[in-house]
Amino acid sequence: MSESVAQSAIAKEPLPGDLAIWFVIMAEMLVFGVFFIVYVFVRSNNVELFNEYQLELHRIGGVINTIALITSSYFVAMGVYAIRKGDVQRTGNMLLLALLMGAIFVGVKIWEYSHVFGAGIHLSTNTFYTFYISLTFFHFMHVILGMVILAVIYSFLRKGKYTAEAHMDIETGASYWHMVDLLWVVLFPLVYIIR
Amino acid sequence: MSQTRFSSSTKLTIIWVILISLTLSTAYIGYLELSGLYIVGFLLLTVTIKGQLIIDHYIGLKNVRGFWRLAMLGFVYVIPGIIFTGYYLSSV
Amino acid sequence: MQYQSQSVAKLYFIAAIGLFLGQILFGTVIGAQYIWGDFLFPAIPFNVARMVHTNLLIVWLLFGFMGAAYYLIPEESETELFSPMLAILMFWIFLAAGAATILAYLLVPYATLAEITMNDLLPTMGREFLEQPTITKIGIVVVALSFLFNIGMTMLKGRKTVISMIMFLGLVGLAVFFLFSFVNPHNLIEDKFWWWWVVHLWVEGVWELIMGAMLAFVLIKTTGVDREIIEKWLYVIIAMSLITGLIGMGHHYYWIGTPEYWQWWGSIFSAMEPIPFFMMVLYTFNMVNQRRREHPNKVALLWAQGTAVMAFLGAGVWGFIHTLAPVNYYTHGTQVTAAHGHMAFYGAYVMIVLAMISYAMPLLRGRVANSNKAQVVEMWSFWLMTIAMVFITLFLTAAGVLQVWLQRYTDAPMGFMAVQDKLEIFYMMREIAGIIFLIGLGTYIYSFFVGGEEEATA
Repeated sequence: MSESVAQSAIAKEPLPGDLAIWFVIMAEMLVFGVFFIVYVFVRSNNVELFNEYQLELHRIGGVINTIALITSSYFVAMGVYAIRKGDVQRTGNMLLLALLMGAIFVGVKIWEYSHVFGAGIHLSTNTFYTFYISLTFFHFMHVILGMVILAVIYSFLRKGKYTAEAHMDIETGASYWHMVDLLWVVLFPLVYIIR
Repeated sequence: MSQTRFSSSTKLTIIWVILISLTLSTAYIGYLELSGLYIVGFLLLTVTIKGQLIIDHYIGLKNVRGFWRLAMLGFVYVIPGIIFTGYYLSSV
Repeated sequence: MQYQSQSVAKLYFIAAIGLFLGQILFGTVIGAQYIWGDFLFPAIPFNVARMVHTNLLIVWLLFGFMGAAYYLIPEESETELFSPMLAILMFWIFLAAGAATILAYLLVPYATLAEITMNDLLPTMGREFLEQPTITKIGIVVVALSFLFNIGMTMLKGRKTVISMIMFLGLVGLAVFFLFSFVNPHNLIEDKFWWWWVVHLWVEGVWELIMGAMLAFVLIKTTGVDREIIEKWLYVIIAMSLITGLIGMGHHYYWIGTPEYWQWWGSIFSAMEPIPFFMMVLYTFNMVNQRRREHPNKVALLWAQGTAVMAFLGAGVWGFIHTLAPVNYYTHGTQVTAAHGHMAFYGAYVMIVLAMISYAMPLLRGRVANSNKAQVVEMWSFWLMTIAMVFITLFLTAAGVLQVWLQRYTDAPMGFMAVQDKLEIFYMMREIAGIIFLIGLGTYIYSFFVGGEEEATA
């Protein structure tokens, strides 16, 4: 695609990662974007219901998960930085830390779901819970997928596949993972906090 | 790029501190169970700031020109904008 | 044609066109029965004619896909087909089973057919699109498995390209989802739940992969644009159609007894379903503008461009019109659905198969492209069929809107049959458009027999 390299000071950088992942990212953000807008629209017709049940959510869990994902994103960004310097060892460590943070997110989320479902709440309990469960669950699936991608990249890294010059996959996986983080950054205040 | 005063990894760490601080402020508001349009506006502002920091520095689109950065930034400006409008309309 | 074994595709294409003709003939019969209820009664009752019309559609498209795969996979893999013999054998089995099933629909009462074929042992009959006797269904599975084995082995021994991988993935998905035709729970809601997985997860999911791969193949061949560029687009379209289509299929779950959240899931995800089709339009026209050669087979490119546009209109726009739950509450199962079904099937799947046939058939007959004269005739058939289909869709949409207005979106609803009487004028115009479509199809078939100077330029 556009690897046009102008050597001037305002040189434009190429898109990080494979172009294909960017189309996927766009598609995902579009779907989530519509979902967020529909949430707001439905809430505006059920303000009391949403305000009442929103307070039942476990906000501390949400906060821990936000911190986990942001920190995970940080480690991934550090990992990309390290591989650009050719520091494979450090990149590996950063990816592992990112995966650890992802695992914390998954653990907390499962704990949160076990409480919600344990209380007999499900998708059809009321409109608020329909949206809470749908939105967080779709996002949860993306976290899992992102972790699988990161884990695959980590195993390739350990096999010595990447260098400072050739590490397209790492940028691709990192871009996807940052998107998962970005979606949660919107989702968390929207569903858990804003009232 | 790198006309910044910090090395890139330091920059990433500083941004992490900012992101966490904004998250904690959101958490504190949640803890107090505050509501109202100003609060909503503030929370959405933190979303936009966090989103732009992630897009520009973590994903690294700051110096990528054209469609992709605009589309990504569009998400963190337009979506909070619509959310705010929705909350504004349902509160009046 | 680069590989000898690609010639098996010819059989499949000829059968596909033959069955297509049958489908359209029965289409005009049903169209007439909408106006004169006892037309051809009792020889061909409406329910039987409708069953033949829809079943033939599916079967001839399957023939078209298989033929396309037998042409495309060896060429992409740069090797001969694993077993041309198996492909030919399966062709005859599939054709015989298909023909026997259609004849049985026409000659034997459906209940008797169920009895003869021992439907009791494993009941799968009696549901729309899945009317085939269980034994036919098992035959389809056998044919599909042999087919997948054949092209899978071909791919294994040859070059692996994105196009062939996506084509294969789509065909595997087709076979896997067909297995749900054997799921037939007693509970009507559960039955319906799985029923939608067969044909509708095809057309909204895996068939889009097949369509994307075939479109990419025809575009690479006729425009000479770099494979890398086309593959990127293909990735995007596939990602989009899977993200939106698989859950978007929930727009069929609004009113069948499934939980309410399907109204949200179905609405939100299916609202995105036009996007991949829109991207297909952008991509097709982009590739044509960037073309690096003037391929002598102009009409194949016309079909390729046509399929992108008509799929977007039929599947994308006409799908979106009634996909949101609050709208669908009124339009569900009206003529609006019929309008969408006709244009979507024609635009997305009929036209892509015809594009593939149009590209491959001259090569299979030993020339790069047909004579100019033959191509002009084929272009006539393109416009006749496409414009006729646009009008069929418009008349059915008008009928559907009026139907909703008189029967549902009103304080004084009229009865179903009373409303049908009011729609008669639209049904008449639809039938005229249908006959023009049939003429278009006749022109298409005639174009294969037009001689003239052969195009020699490559």
